[in-house]
Amino acid sequence: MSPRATAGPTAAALRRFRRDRVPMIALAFLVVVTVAGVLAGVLAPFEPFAQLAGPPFDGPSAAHLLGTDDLGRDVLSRLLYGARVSMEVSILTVAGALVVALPLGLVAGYSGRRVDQVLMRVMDALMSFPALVLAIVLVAVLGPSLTNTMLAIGVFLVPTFCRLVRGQALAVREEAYVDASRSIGTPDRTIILRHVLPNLLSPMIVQATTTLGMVLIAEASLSFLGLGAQPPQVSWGAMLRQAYEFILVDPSLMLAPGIAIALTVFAFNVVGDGLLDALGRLGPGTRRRKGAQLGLTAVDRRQDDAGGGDPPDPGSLLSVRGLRIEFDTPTGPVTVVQDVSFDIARGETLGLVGESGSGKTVTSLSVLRLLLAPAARVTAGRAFFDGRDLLGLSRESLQQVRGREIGVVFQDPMASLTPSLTVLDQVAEVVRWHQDVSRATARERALEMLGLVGIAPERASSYPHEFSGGMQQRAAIAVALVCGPKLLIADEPTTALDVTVQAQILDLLRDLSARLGLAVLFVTHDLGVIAEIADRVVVMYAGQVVETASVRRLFHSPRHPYADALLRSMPDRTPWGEDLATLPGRVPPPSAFGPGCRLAPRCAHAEDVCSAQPIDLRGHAGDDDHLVRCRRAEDLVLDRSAR
Amino acid sequence: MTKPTTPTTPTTPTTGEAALLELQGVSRTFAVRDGFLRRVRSRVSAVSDVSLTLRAGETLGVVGESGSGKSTLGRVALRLLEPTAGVVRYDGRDVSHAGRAERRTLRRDAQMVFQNPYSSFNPLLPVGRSVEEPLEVHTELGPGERRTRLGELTDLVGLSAEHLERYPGELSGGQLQRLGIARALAARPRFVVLDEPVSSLDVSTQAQVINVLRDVQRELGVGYLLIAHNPALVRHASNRIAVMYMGEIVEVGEARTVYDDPRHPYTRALLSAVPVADPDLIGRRPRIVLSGGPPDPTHPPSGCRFHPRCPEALEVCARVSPPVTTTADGRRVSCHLLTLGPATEQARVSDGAVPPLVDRSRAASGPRGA
Repeated sequence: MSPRATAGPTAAALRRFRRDRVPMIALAFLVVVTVAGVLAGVLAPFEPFAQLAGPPFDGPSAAHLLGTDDLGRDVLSRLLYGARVSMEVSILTVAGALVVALPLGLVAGYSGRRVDQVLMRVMDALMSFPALVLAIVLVAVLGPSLTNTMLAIGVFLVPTFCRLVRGQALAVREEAYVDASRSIGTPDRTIILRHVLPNLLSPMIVQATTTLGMVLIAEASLSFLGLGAQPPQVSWGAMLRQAYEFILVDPSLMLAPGIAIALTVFAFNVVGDGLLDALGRLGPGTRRRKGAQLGLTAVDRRQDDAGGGDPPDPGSLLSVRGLRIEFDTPTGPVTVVQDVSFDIARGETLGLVGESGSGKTVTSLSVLRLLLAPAARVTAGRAFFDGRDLLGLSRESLQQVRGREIGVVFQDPMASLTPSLTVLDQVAEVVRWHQDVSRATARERALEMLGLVGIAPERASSYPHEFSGGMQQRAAIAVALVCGPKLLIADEPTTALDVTVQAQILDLLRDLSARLGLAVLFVTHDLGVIAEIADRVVVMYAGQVVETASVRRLFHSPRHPYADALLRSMPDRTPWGEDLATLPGRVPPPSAFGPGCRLAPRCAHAEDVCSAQPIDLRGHAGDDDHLVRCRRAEDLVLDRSAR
Repeated sequence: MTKPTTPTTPTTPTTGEAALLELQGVSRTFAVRDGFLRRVRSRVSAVSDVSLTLRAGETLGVVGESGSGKSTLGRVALRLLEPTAGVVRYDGRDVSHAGRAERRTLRRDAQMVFQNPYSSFNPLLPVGRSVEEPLEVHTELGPGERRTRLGELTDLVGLSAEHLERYPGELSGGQLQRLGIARALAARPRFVVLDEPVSSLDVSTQAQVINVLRDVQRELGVGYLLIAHNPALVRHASNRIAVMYMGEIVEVGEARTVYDDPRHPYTRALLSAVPVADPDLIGRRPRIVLSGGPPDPTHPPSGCRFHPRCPEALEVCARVSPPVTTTADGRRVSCHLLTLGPATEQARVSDGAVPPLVDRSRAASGPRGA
């Protein structure tokens, strides 16, 4: 491995695992048990079969820390030797099953077709037997011994592992990087070993770890039945069996092996869970925030600043003031949205535009406190809707606002549709949820709304999956609007649609906005869509509003270099054969946001002072309808000739 | 004026230079299997009777909506998929049913850049290992020579060798996509299929990648088959454009002429639906808003596949597949209107609200609120 490999995802996963205390303790316990088993010959004070090493059925004493059993054998020594057998059986059985299952599953999953069909039917057949019963029969036929126990258990592990490997291989096979290797002409063997196998190892490691505990129990059960470890071998299961015979004489004999089994299995499961946490997620785990209520973004505005105290615009439907939002990260809280203020008038469509990482979605979702993951918290600001601060409402009051006064549409229409209900039923259900009306009235209103969004009554009783993407989005809009909200928050509602369908949905939204007097907060990255639908535009960059203006003003005479660069980089605004304008570099991550202008490192017009201190959003040429966050907004010449 | 040609396989226009890639009447169908025995229930024709040529150093843009078969076309062109009918010629050689050995040479000469840069790199390997893969597979270069070549490649796409040590999770989408281009170019291919190369990137990053693609083409003379759903992007980056609808090419020609004066009703609708970043044009630009979406591909409409959604459909369109017509400016268009169009205005099946073909000033704009 190269020295840089420490920064790789594998190393990062290991680091995450090491930081998790409970699984690390469990792992330490397992290591201790394994080492104790391996070194049993050295550690054990007595031979496990030294009969009458002490008096029979003796309690704990200095000579025999855990007492003695029916034959006067030292329980501690037997426990140590038992650990050796139990761990050996678990590890060998799981390892053996993996060795068999990995290649089978890989071949079945990667090659597919015939091989897969045949292999999987065999595995299915194996899995349809009751495992433990058959293991008992198998061991009974083969003769009781540890080896046969391992074989019997292993036979039932192979299909489980095989299915898991195959499922993972099927999924990894569809990944674009495997496709890429195929298009390069890389031989299948290399693809499997380099790309497929490493990427399915994490779930296999998790599964194998929890299976270790399962095998330990299986071995104990078989030994308990007298089918596993045979004297002179000791295993915890065999110890249980012996203790069981004398349960009336000395029930405490059950304790040592019983606790050993329980603790070890528990430890395996805890380590498995820890591995799942560490390997299964790309980012840090999302823990519930202190103060976060279920289904609500946390609000914690102890130090209110940056215009959070500014009064709302009396004429506006929604006035956001000084909004600041933090995300929790492993390295502490990071401010992702800062000092965001804007107004939406009644019936107005406001476009909120920005690239990924600009904070536009975070802003729009937190207004209704819909932002849950990653662990987010509003730390400053107000969101006045019709005079009330949405960020200060109780859960119940907010529930009333959601849907009834403010509707939401997402990029994925299925986010607001239930797959198991017909479209008509779910629109009607929303009506009854918010309004005290009869079933029939609700259906009537739902049909009317569906008609408005262009879904004919004869299609209203379809299920969402029977609809195309465009029709699903229409249904989602019906759900959002059926209770007659005054504001619709639309987060990239057309991004996933084809352009001809996008045109339909944009027309529909424009039409509904005019007919119903609906205000719309339209969030998108697409300036073309903004030009088509918005009255005014808010441009965000790196968590801040950088420019606000009417759509005409913004497209004709942007004053912020970022807005200008965005417009220049559009292929349809660039003359034939000319280079598209680009901004060098990339949007900084929130942890690297500086105190001053965040565009400065990428800006051709930046001066040293730009990055030094915070820059306010100011009216351009004294015009409060055109706000710009740029020190040089007044003197900068942004050449618009290249249009 | 236009002159009709035979409705069957159209001949490709030959312009001196030999074609690098030639598709002739290429079709690809997929079996839809169902049930316990995986019996073939129906067949979907993803690409049908497509003829195209690509010359060295040229960019041929393929536009179409999802399900139009453009990605399948790209895969057939690379011979990652075998055509079910027709001929794929590479350098004049028929590779339609090439065996393993012949495909290997093709894999070296023809490469692909994928839509999603994040998922097209193995997350567990430093990206340099992935960029290097074509060199391992197709060249005999030693480790030192490979490193030199990797350095050249990163230079070419505007990154530094230091980026090669990073893991995909540590790089931005734009950087990864440029490395995706570097990977595609590593073994010096002669043509590259770009499958939506920028659609998952941000606007300002898209421009970086498009400029890099063009610089690379100028320097190395590779041919691009650029597959995208955004006609504005394709117009900017392509020499010629092919418009696909339900597996068929409905119009193909010089990018500028197709874009400025589309002849097929679908091309017109598609182009008019693309949002234009100019608020002044809103309401003044002719807009054709099609109803519904493309029909079920397992049961394509009879005649012209576009006729159920076509605002200008004639009565004949539902019955007869349109012939391929070559226009005066060398475009090939599959539409009855070009042969039977304006003269037979009375034969339209739809009502009078549709825009007439010639009088573009009267073209209907979409229903607009306020």
